[in-house]
Amino acid sequence: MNSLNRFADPVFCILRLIAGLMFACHGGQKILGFPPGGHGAPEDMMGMIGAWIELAGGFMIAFGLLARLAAFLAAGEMAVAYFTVHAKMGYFPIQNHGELAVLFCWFCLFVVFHGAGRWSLDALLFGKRSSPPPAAAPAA
Amino acid sequence: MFACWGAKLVLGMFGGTPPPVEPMLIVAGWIELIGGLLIAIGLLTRLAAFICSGTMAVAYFMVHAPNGFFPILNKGELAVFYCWLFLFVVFYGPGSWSIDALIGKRKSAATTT
Repeated sequence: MNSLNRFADPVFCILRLIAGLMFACHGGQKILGFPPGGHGAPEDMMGMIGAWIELAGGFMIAFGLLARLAAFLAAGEMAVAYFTVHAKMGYFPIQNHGELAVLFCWFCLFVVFHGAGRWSLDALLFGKRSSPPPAAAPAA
Repeated sequence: MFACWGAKLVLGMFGGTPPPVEPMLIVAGWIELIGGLLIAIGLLTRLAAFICSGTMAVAYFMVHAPNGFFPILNKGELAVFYCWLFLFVVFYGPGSWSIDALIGKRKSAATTT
C-alpha cells in the first residue's frame, strides 16, 4: 500500500529489541542488581515471579524467541502491575507513574497478535517449516 | 497518553507547571498534544508519528542522555519507548482500524465507481 511498509519488518525488529531489552532491565535490576540503582530483590513470591517474567520474557521478546508466549505473559504481568500498584495512585497514567506499565502491556499484547515478525529467532527456527502453510495457503 | 504530556505542558492540565516560556518546549508541547491525538485516532498517522518520533529523540538526547547510559536509570525509558514505537508506526502505517483507512477506502471506492 505504501512504500514505507517495505521497512516495517526491520523497524519492528529494532522496536522489539529496544523494548524487550528495556523490559529485561527491570527484571535484571530486581534479580541481578544490574543495571545498578534498583530497589533490590522483591521479598514476596509475586514480585519474584514478576521479576523473572521481566528478565526472561524481555530477552525472549527482544530476540523473538517464542515471542507470542513471552509477550502474553509479559502483558499479563504488566496489567497486574498497573492495577495492583499504579491504579491506586490516580486515574491518569501520567499521574500515577503507570504510563510505562500501560505502554509495555499494550505493546506486548500487540506482539502476541502480530507475532515476532520476519526478523526474529522464531522466523529463523520455525519460519521455513511453516512458510508454505499446508492447508491455509490462499493460493492453493 | 502521549497527548497528555502535551496537555500538561501547554494547557497546564494534570498538575502541570505553568506553560513553558522556551519556544522549543512550547513547540514540543503542541507536537505532543496534537500529534498524540492524531496518532490515537489514526489521522495522518505516518506524518504525525514521524514528527513525534523526532521530538522524543531530541527529548531523550537533550534531557535524559546526559544523566546516564541506561534508559532505566536516566528516566528516559518512556522517551525511548515512544520514539521507537512511533518510528514503527511510521513504517507500519495506521492499520485497518483508523481514520486514514476509512478515508482511503472511500477514495478507492470513488475511483472504482
